Amino acid sequence: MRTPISYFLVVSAMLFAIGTVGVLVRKNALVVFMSIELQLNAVNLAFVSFSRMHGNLNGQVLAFFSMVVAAAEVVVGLAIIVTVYRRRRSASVDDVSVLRG
Amino acid sequence: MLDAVWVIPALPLAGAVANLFLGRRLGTKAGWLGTAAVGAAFAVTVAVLLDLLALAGPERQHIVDLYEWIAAGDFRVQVSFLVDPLSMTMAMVVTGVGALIHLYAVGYMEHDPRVGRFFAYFNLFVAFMLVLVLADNYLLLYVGWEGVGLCSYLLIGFWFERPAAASAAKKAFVTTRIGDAAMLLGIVLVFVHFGSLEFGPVLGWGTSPSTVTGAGPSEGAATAIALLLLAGAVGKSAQLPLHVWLPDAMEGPTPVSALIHAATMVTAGVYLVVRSHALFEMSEVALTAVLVVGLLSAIYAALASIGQFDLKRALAYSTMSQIGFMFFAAGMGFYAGAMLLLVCHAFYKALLFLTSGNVMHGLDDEIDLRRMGGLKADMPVSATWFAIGALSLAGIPPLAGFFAKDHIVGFAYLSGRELAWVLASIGAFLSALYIARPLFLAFFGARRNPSHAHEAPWRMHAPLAVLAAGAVVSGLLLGFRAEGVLARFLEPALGLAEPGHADLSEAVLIAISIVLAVAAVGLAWFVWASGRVDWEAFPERQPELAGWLSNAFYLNAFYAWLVRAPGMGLGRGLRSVDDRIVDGAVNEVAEDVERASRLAPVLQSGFVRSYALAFLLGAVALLLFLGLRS
Amino acid sequence: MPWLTAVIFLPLIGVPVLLLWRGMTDAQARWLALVLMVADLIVAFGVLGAFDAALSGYQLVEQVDWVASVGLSYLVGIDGFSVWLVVLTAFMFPVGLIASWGTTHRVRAFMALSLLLETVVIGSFCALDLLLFFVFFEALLVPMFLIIGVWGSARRVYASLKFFLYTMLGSAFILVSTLYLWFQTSEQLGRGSFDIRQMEQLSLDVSVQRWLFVAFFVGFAVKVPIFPLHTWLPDAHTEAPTKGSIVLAALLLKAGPYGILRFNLDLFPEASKYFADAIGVLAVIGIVYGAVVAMMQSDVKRLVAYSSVSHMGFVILGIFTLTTEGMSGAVVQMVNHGLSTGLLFFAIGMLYERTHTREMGEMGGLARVTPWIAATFLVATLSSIGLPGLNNFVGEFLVILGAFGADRWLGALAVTGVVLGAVYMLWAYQRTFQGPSTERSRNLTDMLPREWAAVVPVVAAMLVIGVYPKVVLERVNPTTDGAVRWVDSVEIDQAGLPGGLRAEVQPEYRPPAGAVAASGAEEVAP
Repeated sequence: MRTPISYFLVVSAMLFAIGTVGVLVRKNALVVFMSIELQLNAVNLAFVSFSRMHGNLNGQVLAFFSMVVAAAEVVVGLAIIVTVYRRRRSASVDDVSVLRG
Repeated sequence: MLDAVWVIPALPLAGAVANLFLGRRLGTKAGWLGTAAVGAAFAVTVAVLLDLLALAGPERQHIVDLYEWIAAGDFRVQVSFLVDPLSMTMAMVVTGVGALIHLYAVGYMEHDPRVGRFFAYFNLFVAFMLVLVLADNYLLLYVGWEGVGLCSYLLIGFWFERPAAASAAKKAFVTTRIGDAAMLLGIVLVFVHFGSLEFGPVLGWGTSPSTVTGAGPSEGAATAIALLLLAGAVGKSAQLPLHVWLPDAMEGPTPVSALIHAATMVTAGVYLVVRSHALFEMSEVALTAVLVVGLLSAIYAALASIGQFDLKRALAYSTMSQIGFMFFAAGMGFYAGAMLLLVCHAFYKALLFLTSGNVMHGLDDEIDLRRMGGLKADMPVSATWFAIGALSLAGIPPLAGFFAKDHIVGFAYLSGRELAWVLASIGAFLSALYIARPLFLAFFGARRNPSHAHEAPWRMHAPLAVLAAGAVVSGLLLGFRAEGVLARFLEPALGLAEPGHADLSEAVLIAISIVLAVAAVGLAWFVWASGRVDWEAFPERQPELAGWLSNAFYLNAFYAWLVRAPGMGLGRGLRSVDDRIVDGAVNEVAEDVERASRLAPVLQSGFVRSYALAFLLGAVALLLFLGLRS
Repeated sequence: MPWLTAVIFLPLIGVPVLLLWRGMTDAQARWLALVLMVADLIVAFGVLGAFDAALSGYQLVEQVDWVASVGLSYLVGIDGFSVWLVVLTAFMFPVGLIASWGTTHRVRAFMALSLLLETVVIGSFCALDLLLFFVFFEALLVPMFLIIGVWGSARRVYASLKFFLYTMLGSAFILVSTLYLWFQTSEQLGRGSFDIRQMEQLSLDVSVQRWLFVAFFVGFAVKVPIFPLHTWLPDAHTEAPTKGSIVLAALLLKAGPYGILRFNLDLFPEASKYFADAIGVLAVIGIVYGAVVAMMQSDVKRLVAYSSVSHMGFVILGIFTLTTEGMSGAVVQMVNHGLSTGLLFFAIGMLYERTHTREMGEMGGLARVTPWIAATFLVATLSSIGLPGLNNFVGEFLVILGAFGADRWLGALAVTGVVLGAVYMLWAYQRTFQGPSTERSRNLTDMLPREWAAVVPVVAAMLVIGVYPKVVLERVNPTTDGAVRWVDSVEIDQAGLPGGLRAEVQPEYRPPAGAVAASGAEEVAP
């Protein structure tokens, strides 16, 4: 028996919401970063669910795309965070607001 | 030889260039080089003159085209020289008197460290003056005209360390430039109406090969042209109302005053009017203007001269007055008379100036007549020269000035201008008075300067002797009668003036003239040399009259009041308009852009969180929008 | 021989060498730049020799397709308007270089920028493709911006930004109009083109023509500069190093009137006629206004900058007299102003190097210590106030003559500029060189040999133009003649232009090969 698609979407939405809240309220750059990953994976889940629902592979392909992008992002993002930490002895995102106008 | 006329200005020009670049190395020899250049020019002028005299009277006109100068559209003008009696008369005066004054200046300037520069400028002046008088068209004449103005500027300001000299130089240049600008407009108008700038077509000789494309001016246009040219002449010749620069120009070295501001440059205006007489005759108004300007200047300057205690300023006003007489003659159509006075005046006025140079040399640059007196004991030769020059100017027969002036004054009566004749006679009386005054004040009477004056060396007397001879005999030789040698020589260029008939015979007129001159000299002796009049107390007794005379009726102050404050006000006003409004608008726009862009940073907090929130809200809004629409 | 390509790009050879060879000494950099500039001057004389004075159309034309699909090509050629500007550019660059010989700050970069600047200046005088012209015209700004901004004096950043943004803003109008014209060519001639020889065959509505004229005019007027768009000039001049001032005054200011001559008259003859009177009035205001404001300056460079406003007023007045005399006078005057103002800035540069001030009040009596610098300044002054026998008189006289033909009162008012010019220039001379010496003016050296080497040729050129202006005028006259006839052939309010009219107006004028074929006239014609 097939689990209804809505179950997956609800889980996906919950994950995304958790991720969003994390991005908005947490200060630690690593946690913010993990929250972003959470959001990405929530979207991946939705992709795969829809893929299954429609019975084609488009969603799967997109999920792979976003995984690749996420991986690349992790590489760059972590490097930045580590550099910032080395410089400032802090991983708080509020400390790197130097690009304000 | 006639074709070689261009050599005449080229020689002093070469001298100028040589002196400019080699002056420092030449040292005192610079003066001799300069004198030689002008002397050679004089020799060439004589040769050209002899060739010209070899031609028959009506054919005495030779044009030498050198090359095409400016050409654009319909406008064409050549560099070309004109040899005719008028230009040769002027060239003779310029090179002859010029050479003598150069010779004098060799001695006068020998202790100046910049003697090379001096003679470079001096030679350059002669070159430009020759271009002026030899030019065959108005534009080339204008080249010389501005060129002599430049040299006048450089030489008045020769001792530029003195602020007074620098200011006087600038004043001279700017004041004459006002006239010159008007003259330039006149020249442009000449071209507009005649389609040519050459003297031949414009003045109606008809011998020039170039075609006249213009239709010829109406009387109104002719009046405009003539008045504009007159404005140029008035500026250059220091006539009313553009005369204010001349007294100040005496800041220059004395040979400069003699050559430029007495003998030659200031008479250029007379030359211009005489040369363009055909233009002036097209308009009654213009000729009358010449006459009135001349007569007023003659009397005004004569009165002003009487009030001066600065010897050179007195002579400067005297020059202005004499040139006024020349304008007066030209305004009556008596061009030969104007030219005769021009020639004679060049001799005696140069003599007077150079002699005053001797006096300044002898008295350590003392120039105030009140601190001279009795100099004839110390400087007998100079005193003689000054007396000859002064009496010649005063019109004591048979010296040159008598003939020159008498013809003009007499002509006024004979041509039926009784009022002008009366005024001119008054002017003549005043002339004799004002020139006898410095003679008596400086050389006669009581000695008022304790220092012992020393006489100038012979080198400086040699040119004076020649000038003195000229001041004595030039009138007799060139103009014994109104239709004398000079008048007949000039006839092909100027025609002969025909005075009408009058009630008084010429003999009576001459007698009146002589009586006036002698009376004036006698009066001058009585007041300033006899010791019976306390002239030094005059300013205290009549402060108003003395003030009016010594300040030349306050015209200078009036101009300063008229020009300086409003001019500076306008300048300051426009400058602040430029800074505040024109530039202010530009900066205002820039600042507005900057201010507007300052609103943007509010959105750019630098907190990723805020961006994410904005992002989220945006996404929600978009979703809501799409959802509600469907 | 591709004369124009050679004269444009020869200086550019030095740029990569200067930028890449790090080991180069300052002296080597200076000499390399000087040698290239002198070589370019020789090539420029070659251009002059190859130029046929009798023709009025474009000569020495070279054309290479660049972006063929949009009709953009590398198209260069010269006529009487530009030939002397090319020579003047090649002439004044070495002079300017000598003026800044003593620069010690980042010499290699300075020399590279100078050479680059020379290329783009000459390029903008040669381009016949509107977009190519625009590229050169805009590219002028960058090296100039850097030269002012890096090597300038105290307020250099303000001045260089103002200069850049102001002129950039003006150019925006030109770019928009250029694009409009391109669309017109593509519509009317069947094929888009930036070739001005094609563009002048366009048939434009009167109102369109006038709008485009105004857009081009504003763009060029900023560069001239015409009152009231001039205020960037005093700041730029004052803050620029000597070389910058010389190039700015002698050459960049010429790009404006040159553009007006080349493009406004050529492309919009009706509008040129329509606006001639108004622009004449503006020019005369500029003449008098610039002179009066110049009088009030205490900074000698600002004074000369305002005098440029006044002098450029003469140029604009001459162009819009729409007479051969006036227009030829304007072209000559462009060259003259380049020489005399260039020399003035050169003299001021020599003074600044020695006294380190531009305030006239702090100088004084310098003629005693440095007589030859004084003489240089005086010659430039006399030239700039229009003393006959020197170069400016020829141009000024022709302009006044032309203005008189157009409108008496304009001519008469323009003459007041001559009087005022004498006032402020001689006053400046007096304040700087005459009077008693001041503390600053002790122990200064007079002109050095290298300075002599720069001054003598300029003075010689001024004398030649003053005494024998035919050299210049005979190459200018046929072109101005053609331009005047071209503008005259159009009546005010005459809509559009029949294609190829210019060839009728000017029989000796040769339309480009293929112009008729590309015009598409045959296809449209029934």
